[in-house]
Formats: sequence, structure tokens, C-alpha cells
Amino acid sequence: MTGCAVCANKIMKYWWILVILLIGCQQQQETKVYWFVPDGMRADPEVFTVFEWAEQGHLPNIKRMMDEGAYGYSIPTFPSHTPTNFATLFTGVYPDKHGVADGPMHVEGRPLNKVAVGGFSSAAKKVSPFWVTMEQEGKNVALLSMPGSTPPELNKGITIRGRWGGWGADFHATIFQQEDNHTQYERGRGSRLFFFGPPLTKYVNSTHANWTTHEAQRTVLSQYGASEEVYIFDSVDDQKTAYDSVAVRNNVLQEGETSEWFPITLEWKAGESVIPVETQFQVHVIKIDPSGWFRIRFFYNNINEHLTQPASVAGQLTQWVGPMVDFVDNFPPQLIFYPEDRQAFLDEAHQSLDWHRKAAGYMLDAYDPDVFIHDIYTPNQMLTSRWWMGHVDPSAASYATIKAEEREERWEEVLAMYKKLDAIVGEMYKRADDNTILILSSDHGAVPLDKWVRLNNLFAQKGWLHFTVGEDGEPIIDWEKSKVIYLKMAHVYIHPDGLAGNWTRASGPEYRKLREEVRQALISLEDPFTKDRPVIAAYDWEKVPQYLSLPTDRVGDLVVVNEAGYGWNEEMSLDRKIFTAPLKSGYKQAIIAHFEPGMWTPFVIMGPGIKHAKLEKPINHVDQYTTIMALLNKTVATDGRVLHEILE
Amino acid sequence: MKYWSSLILFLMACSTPGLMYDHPDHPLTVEVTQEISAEDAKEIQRQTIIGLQAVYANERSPYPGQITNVQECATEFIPEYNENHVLLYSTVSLGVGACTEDTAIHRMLIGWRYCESQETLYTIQYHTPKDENPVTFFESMRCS
Repeated sequence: MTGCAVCANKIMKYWWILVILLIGCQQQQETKVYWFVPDGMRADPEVFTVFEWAEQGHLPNIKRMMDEGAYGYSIPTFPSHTPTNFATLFTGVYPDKHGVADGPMHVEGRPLNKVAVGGFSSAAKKVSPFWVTMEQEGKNVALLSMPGSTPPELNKGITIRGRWGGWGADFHATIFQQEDNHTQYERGRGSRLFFFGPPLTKYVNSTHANWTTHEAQRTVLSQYGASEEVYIFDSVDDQKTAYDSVAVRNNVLQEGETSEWFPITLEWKAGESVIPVETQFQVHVIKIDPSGWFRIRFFYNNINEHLTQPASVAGQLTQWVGPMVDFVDNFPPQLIFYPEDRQAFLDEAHQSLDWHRKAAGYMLDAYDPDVFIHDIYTPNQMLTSRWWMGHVDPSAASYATIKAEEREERWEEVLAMYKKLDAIVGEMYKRADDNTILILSSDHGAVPLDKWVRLNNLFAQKGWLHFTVGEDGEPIIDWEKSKVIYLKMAHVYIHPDGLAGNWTRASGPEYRKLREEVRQALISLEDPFTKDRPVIAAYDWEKVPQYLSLPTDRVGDLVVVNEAGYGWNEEMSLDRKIFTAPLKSGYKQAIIAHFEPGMWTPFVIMGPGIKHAKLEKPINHVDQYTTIMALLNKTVATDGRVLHEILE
Repeated sequence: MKYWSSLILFLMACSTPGLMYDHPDHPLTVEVTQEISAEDAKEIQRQTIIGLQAVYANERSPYPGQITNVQECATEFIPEYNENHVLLYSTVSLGVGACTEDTAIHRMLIGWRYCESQETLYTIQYHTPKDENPVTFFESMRCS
């Protein structure tokens, strides 16, 4: 018998073993995970009744997932915002292990006036996230707009634009507004990205343009090293001057209209280098007053070769999906000042939702990833903006300030946003096969914000914080004399010897006495208008692992939990006023979500190994990763539990 | 010995368009860019360095406030830029951007070797325990 014949004989004899091995191997390889995690997608049993909306037919794709899989509510972990909860969802452990205790974090040995660790950076985590684990398992992974994913951690996979991770050439949308000294002064730092970044609203002048046919003003709008000539003109020849149109390149636009996308070269300042970036922008005319006063928004493509890895993905997405509108508005919000801003917000929100729907389909078709994780920030932006939460949630102080018809309209707008999230789910659903685990979840919900609480003004009243105000209106803190300060999002730093220099944790009787005095001042603080107490608890740093699952090394001396409706604010002012009215109407920070259903999120999961079930009680975010890893037959040490009640 | 195994993989990479050596203490990645001019290879290096400089530059804080507005990486974690490599720290996930002792898990080297006769650029990412120096290994690499 020849060697070949022996071989063939053996293959014949054991063919069934080979078939079983191949099938088993193939099934293992083909298990895919599509995980959609819209940011700030509130779902609760009373007000944002997402599962009822689905049953009523408004959200058909979520309904399909509910019918074919399991669903219920999921509870975020404190401080109930994005960076902490993305880290929790994708590591299955609490912040005391993954390390992302907050957005801005301070550590011993570094000064308190600088943030030492940014929670949106991938480098903030002390534990590898799901996407890294999956890539290490040999899966092809693609991440779209995921907070905490940049600087990229994937080696072979695709990372597209994480948010605020300090990576890549980000060009933020900019509003150009006719110069108005009063408005400009009032908004001050609030016109700049993160208060000190590039301006998000620029105040510009215009000059008379010598057009022979129409009355026109000329202005030059400059941002990121590029200038654009724009004309504001009166399009009607009726002997009266009433400006109503904007001309930019070959487009003529009226109020509320958006241009096509134009090519543009912007300058990216990276360290000491300036890099030209070929990209695109579009123009939206928010408002034109007949007098010629204007408010015009430039929106720049949110991806370019410096914001995706591999770099080539940016060009492919722009070509096949279109320039990216990642999310609406920015931080601090700019589309909250004029009534026309609401429509501009809605137009941009829908552009972003449409882009993400197309992109989800494109990513799955073009790259066929084994693991696709996708976030969109627009829900958070909408539910924390000025226009909606305060008018749709009955617990908001401003709920009754609009008429019922207007409220109906606001609800329709919110529901339209949810319908578009459902459409994104639909793109994943129709591409999911029998071996795909499909998940819809979110990082946190949002609740009404009625009052800002300026804790630093309280500390100044008590004589613990010392500051003056400079000529530019900015406070100058006397760190040597100051013993107590509130820093975002939920931390009070205390040192009886002063807070100057590199911060170290104090100890001893004097420290403990002062800390107790500060705690008493906080918990006895009372809203003079409602008599409510905004501070629910102020925990010692030693106790935060026990009560809040936070790490001791990235928190202040006291961690302050607020009542829903109130939000902590760093602002300090000479009037020492503590309670102020916000312009935005939704919020989510520093709230213990277990007791606040408005902070809850949906959890819907379907796929191999999952039975149809409704979760009777809300789960914790840490349970999601734990259960998904169990479905993938991975044994992991987490803080969550496997949801056996939904497994077949 | 640990360098030898890495070196063998590096040599294998000469015929492979990208390779990762998944050693638990000394993970190594070699990315091979073929048919590339020396000038374009320099440009790839330059772009990577600019990207890194942007990561470590002072930046605006997330969720900023009146006081919390600037994020700064401590000097000891800022990368060292050399002619053909950068020395920095990597995270538990082998990513860049670590700026605190507890997130800087490995010493990391990002290096570039351009082999003129092959018109090939080798981009190396090499991680070692923090108390080791990855430069020695990188400098032992030669074009074959």
C-alpha cells in the first residue's frame, strides 16, 4: 500500500472526527458580537418607557430583539457618567478595579490645578477592555466612536475616532456670529471648547459689499488656519433692506438651510508641528436677522486620516458613507441660546443619526468584523440639552413652563431620535446570523437639572477657600491659604496645611476634624427656594470602595453624591452665590443610579445561547460583560454575575 | 535567549506583511511596509511622532470646569524621541498614553528600521518589563 493510500484509508476511517472538529472549530470562529451602546440612552419604567414604545410599534428592531432574546433595565455605576460606565461595561469590573473613577482625575504627587488622568483616554484603564481581549483571542474587531478606545489599543483591528481621548486631529464645529460685545462678554469661557480650547463660537465683523444688484455684507470666517469668504444679502428687490440669504462658494442658503459639503484644507497643530489636513465642511445658517445680524455654523468632517486606525478607513468611510457627523453640538453646548438653535440642533442630530446608521451597515459589509462595537453620543447631547429633558420629565422644575402642545412636540422629537437609534439597531439586526450575539445597551440615562450648586462658593463663605478675581473675570485661587476645594465631578480635596504644590493626602486629628466640618457643611446645605438638601452623602475616601466601588487613589478626600435635579459646579464668584439656574435642562453626574430610574439604561440581547426572557429586576452594568463572556465560553474574573435566567 | 526568539521572529517578518510575537513579558510587533522609498519611510516615522507628541501634549480636561481645565502628563512619562526610535511606557493593553505609575505597566519602544536594498520599512513595537531597557534589542536588529 502506498503512503497516499494509507493516508486516504485513515482519513476514511476517521472522517467523522475531522468533520466534528471542523464544525466545532467553525462555530467557535464564527461567533460574532455586534454591540451597540448609544451614549445616554435613558430607559426606565415610568417616563422613557422604551420597551413600551417598542411594543407599540415605534421601535420595530428593538421589538424584534426583545421577541427573540432577553431584555430589561441596567444600572450604571457611580458617578453615572460616560467614561466610568464605558469602562465598567467593557471590563465587567467596578472603578475600584478598572481605575476610571471619573472624567478628570487627580493623583497624589501632582498639583490639583492640573488633571493627571483623563477618564476618556484608553490609558486611564488598569484592566484590558473587551475589545483588546477579543483581539487577543484572534477576532477581527472594529470600534466606532467608542469612548475609552483611543489612543488606539487595537493592533490589527479598526479604531474610528474615540471621543476626547486626546488622540488625532479633531476639528470641532464652529458658530460664527455677528460681533456683539454684550453677548460675547456674557458667554465668556462658555464659547470655547471645554472652556479653554478652540473657540466654538467666534464673533466676527462684516463690511458693506459693493454689489450692484442686491444689498450685501461681506465677512471672512476663519478657523483652523482656513478662511472662507461669505456674503449676507437681501435677495428680494423691493426697495427695502431685509437680509435673508447667505452665499458661500456656489451655494445660496436661507435661514435653517444647510449647504453641500465643500473640500477644505485645515491646519492641525500637534505639539509644535502644523500638519495640513484635507477634509470637508458644510455650512448651516442658524439665523439671519433682517438687519444683517447672523449666526452661521461650520461643521467639519469628524474623521480624517489622523482619527482612524488604519488611516485608510477615514477615506473609505468618507467616500462610501459621507463626511462624518459624529454627534450634535459640543461641550459646553452652543446650540442653547436662541430659539432657532433648537432646529439647528435637530437638523445636526438627525445628520449624525443617519451617518451612524449608514456607517454601521458599511462597517459590517465592508470589513465583516467578528466584533463590532458602536457608540453614538447624540442621545446624551439631546437629553442634557436645554430643549427637551426639562420639558418632558414631570419631575423637572421647568416642566410646567411650556404648553401641552409644545410638550407633545418635544416628545415627538425625542421619540424621533429613539426611532433613529432603532434604525441603527436594524442595520446590525439584518446582518446578524445565527452565530451572532447582538446587544443593545447604554452607559447611563439622564434626569432633569434644575439648579447648579457652586460648592466652592460655600467653601469660600466658610473661609476655607480663598480667591480673588482677575481683570479678565477669572478667579485666582490662593492655594496656600485654601484648605478645601471642590473639583469635578464629585470630589472635595481637604488639607489643613493648604493645597499648594503637589497634592498629598493629609492625615491626623486636625485633618479628620476639618473633614468632618466640611461634611457637616455639605449635608446641611439647603436650597433656599425649595428647602431641599442637594447633598445625599459625602463619603470619606477610605470608605468609597465600600459604598461607591471607587478606588481610593483617584478620588478626593470626600466624594459628594447629589440629589437628582442638582449638579455640582466649580464656578466661584465674588457674590458667593451658591444656587444658580442652568441653561441646560438635563444631567447625569454624581447621582447614585440605583435609586434613580431616570439614570437606567436598556439591556437587550439576542443570539446563540440566549432564550426569550424579560428580566424582572434591573441588572448591574458589570453583569453585561460577565454574561457575554460566558456566552463566548470565556472564564473571566469580574464583579458581575452571569445572568443564568436568560441563558438556554 | 529572550532576545533570540524575538530576533528570529523579526527575521521571519522580512517575508511577512506584519507579525506579532505574543510573549507575555516581551510582546513584539513588526509591521512590514514593502516597496517604500526612504523618503516615504521617513514621512511615516514623522507622522507617528507627531501623533505621539499630540497624545502627550497638555490638553483640555474632559468634563472641564472653572478650575479643572488642563490635563498634563508628568515629565517622567513623556516619551524620549531619538533618531530612529521612541522610548515610552505602555499600558496593560500595550497602548500609549500612560502618564501615571499605576497605568505605566511596560517599557515600550517604537522603532523604525529602513532596509534600503529591500526598499522595506520595519516598524517595531517592543514592550519589556519596566526595569528592562528595550533599546538593546532594537539596536541588535540589522537588515539581512
